[in-house]
Amino acid sequence: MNNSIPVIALAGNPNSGKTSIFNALTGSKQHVANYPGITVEIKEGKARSGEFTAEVVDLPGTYSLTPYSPDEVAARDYLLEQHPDVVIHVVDASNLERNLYLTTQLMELGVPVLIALNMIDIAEARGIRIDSEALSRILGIPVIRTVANRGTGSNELLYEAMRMAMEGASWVPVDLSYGQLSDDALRILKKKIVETDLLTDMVPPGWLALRLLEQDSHTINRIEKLNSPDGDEILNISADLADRVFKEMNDETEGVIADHRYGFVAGVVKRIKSNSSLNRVYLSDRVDRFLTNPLLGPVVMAAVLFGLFQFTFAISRVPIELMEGFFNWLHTVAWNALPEGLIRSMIVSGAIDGVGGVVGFVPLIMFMFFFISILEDTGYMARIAFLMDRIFRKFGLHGNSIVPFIVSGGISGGCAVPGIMAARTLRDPRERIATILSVPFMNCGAKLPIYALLIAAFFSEYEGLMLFLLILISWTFALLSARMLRSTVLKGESTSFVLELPPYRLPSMKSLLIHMWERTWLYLRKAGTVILFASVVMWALMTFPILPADQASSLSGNELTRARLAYSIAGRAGRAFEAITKPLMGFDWKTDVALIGGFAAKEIVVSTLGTAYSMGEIDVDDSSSLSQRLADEEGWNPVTAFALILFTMLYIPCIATIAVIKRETNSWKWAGFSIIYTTGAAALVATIAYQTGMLFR
Amino acid sequence: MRNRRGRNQNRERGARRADAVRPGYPLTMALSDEYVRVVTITTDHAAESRLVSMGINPGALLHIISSSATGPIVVARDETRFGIDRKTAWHVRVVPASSENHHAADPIFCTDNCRGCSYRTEMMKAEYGESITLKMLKKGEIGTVLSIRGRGVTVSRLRDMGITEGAEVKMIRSIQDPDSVIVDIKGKQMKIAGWDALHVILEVNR
Repeated sequence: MNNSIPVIALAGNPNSGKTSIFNALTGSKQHVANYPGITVEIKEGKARSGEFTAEVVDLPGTYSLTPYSPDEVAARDYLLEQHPDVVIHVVDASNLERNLYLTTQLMELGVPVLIALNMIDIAEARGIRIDSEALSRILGIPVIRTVANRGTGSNELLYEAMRMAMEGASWVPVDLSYGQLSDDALRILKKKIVETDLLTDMVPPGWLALRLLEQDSHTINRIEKLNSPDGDEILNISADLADRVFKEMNDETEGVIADHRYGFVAGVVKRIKSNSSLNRVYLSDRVDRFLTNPLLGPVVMAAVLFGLFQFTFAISRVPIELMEGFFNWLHTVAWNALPEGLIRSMIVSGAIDGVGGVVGFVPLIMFMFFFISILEDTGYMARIAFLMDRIFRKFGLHGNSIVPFIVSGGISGGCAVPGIMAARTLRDPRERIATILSVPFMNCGAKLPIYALLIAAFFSEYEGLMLFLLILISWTFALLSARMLRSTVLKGESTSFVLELPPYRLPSMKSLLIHMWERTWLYLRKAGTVILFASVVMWALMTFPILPADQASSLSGNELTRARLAYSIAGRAGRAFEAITKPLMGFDWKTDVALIGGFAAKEIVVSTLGTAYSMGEIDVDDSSSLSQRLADEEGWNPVTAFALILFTMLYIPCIATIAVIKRETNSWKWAGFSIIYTTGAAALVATIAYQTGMLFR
Repeated sequence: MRNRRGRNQNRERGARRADAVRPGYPLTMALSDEYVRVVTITTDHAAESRLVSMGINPGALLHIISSSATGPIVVARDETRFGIDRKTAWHVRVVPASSENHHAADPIFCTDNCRGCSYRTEMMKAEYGESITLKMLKKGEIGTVLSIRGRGVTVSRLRDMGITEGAEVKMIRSIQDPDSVIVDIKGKQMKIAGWDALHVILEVNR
């Protein structure tokens, strides 16, 4: 380990501030939110201390080394397989006893460990005193006090971790006592494991013995896969021993062992911690009695979200108008400055109008992200999850599914890609797949411009209400689809739900602005790259092949532009679809083209509509916005607009989402199912909405 | 499949422990602002191991932040608040505790051979004596009512039958089907449904 750079892994309970420490050590800006389970991937970064560099790895939060959900499996497997040089165990100082449980397991594993006693300021404000030197002495582990979000202690932490890594601290498993009977059983198992050399290159024999006595199914499976007679013999011995302990103790071995770990921890905590205040009901709890009340809570939640939408629209109206004005100005300037021809058409109709349609809504997106950051950072998001669990349960989902839903745009303005990855915190594969397949129905940031465009054009009087309604509709579909999946292809019982509710915190303006900016920047960057490129491609598809001159000469004005568009590749494809979509859902072929483009990314629907409707334009000085143009266009009415909104909400997830569904479910079958299933649902729902709407018109 | 009778084989999803009769009452019955101590957890293996690793382990002191007749329950363990769904909470069995009496017995000095292992039995004994539910009273035994758990109708029904704090209850016999017990209270014999009997916490000198 002397030649390569040392690897420092960060392990700890969810919501203990691991990511804050990671950011403090590496200077990066990973997303930190005030609710558990936000980190589901293993993240890497570099940290420098003087002339030395180390690789820092942020593991998903885990409560124990007996993994429960896929993200915890990832954390444990990393520790076992990658053998980091040092593990920094991030311990929430306010919850010492609960956090030290994981410490005992790290000690059993023997990995060189270092404790970062984090959020010590909050603990001290609550009257909890911790003698960190005594803790260090009793456990034989260095302990550093840190306040990660302010960066306190991060230098010492890095220095100490580097020192341990440089000295090549070795793996020394610690043997705790689990009671006479278990200890005897462990001794027998360990002896046998050492004799047969089972997996000793990977894990310490004592640890393996412990896992076997606990009858840990992951470990058993792993040994079964080895297919060695020694392994089978050891499995049999361990089963008998576990059975013996079970009979003697009247409790299963894992419980017995856990009790002793907690016994050890309680003994340690008793010596090093003192509470000066016993007043345990904080303001946070009093607030929670209202906000998590089964009757009052949902009402408050609905009011908060509805207010949020109203406010977002109200506050972003003027900036959106300014942005539209700017793009109209740019449109006219470019039109007048450039010579007539394909280049002008490409730049003005393709690039400017296409991208302008998407970028014009940046203010709306930005404010939406800002308010969602407030919900996250205050801790209200966890309460939303808590309140939703009852509803989710009825639909066959799990309370933890709420995080994927919200990350994907449950409150509008997210992305399904991280949302689907967040489903890793779900243990049950059926609940997980049901979540993954329902999540793309949420209103991601890319769908927002479409809604905003059509709402502005046809429902401008009820902006906030309309968006609220759309959120409700998308949730209804997502939940119904989950219910349907869970009662057909993904049948199974619901698993238990225990959620950590973080205390309410006053968010700092700086972190809110950082979150808002990061997410908005992602959106802008996409508009400047993928969407720009796609807009130009769509423009080309709508321009070539050019209408032959002999046919063009007989037409003029509107007729000519329409004939030109119809002659192009996109026009022909759109026309083919129009035969179905026009009578059923009222979509003309330009919309169909936009929807086909939307498969690459949903923003393209808006940018393509922008291009398609600006190409039909004759009057150079007509600089009305796209929403006005749509409102004036023949064949467009509120019913068509609503059907289109529903269709875009539900239909085929974008390519990136399909790819991540494939990766997370590890099967093309589910990805393909998702494509057919969502598009089928979208067509059905849009048809019903359009046909019903037209009846009443 | 090999003959491996560990916990994974013995207990199917949702199935109760073989020794389902254990002290304590479900967490769902605890009232807001009450302190309780976890005695045992009776869910399936994975959920139990999850709860234990989150700190809702046998022996843990919980403070009920909010509990209502429907919907999940919010408890505090140390400084963390947990929301627990009702089904899971029902499987967490607790006994009343006081906030002052934090770890009456030092578990580190636990002698290993106490029945049911580990420090928790000793700790429970030190705090509450041999408290059990009426359901677990053995034939002929006499217990003193410590408290009646649960809410509303159940408690008032039991009170109306003469089961009040301090009353002495003698077990005549218990009936399997329908699940109920026949007890003697102040010279009167009466039949109590098994479910109701679970709500009565007794002290017994064995």
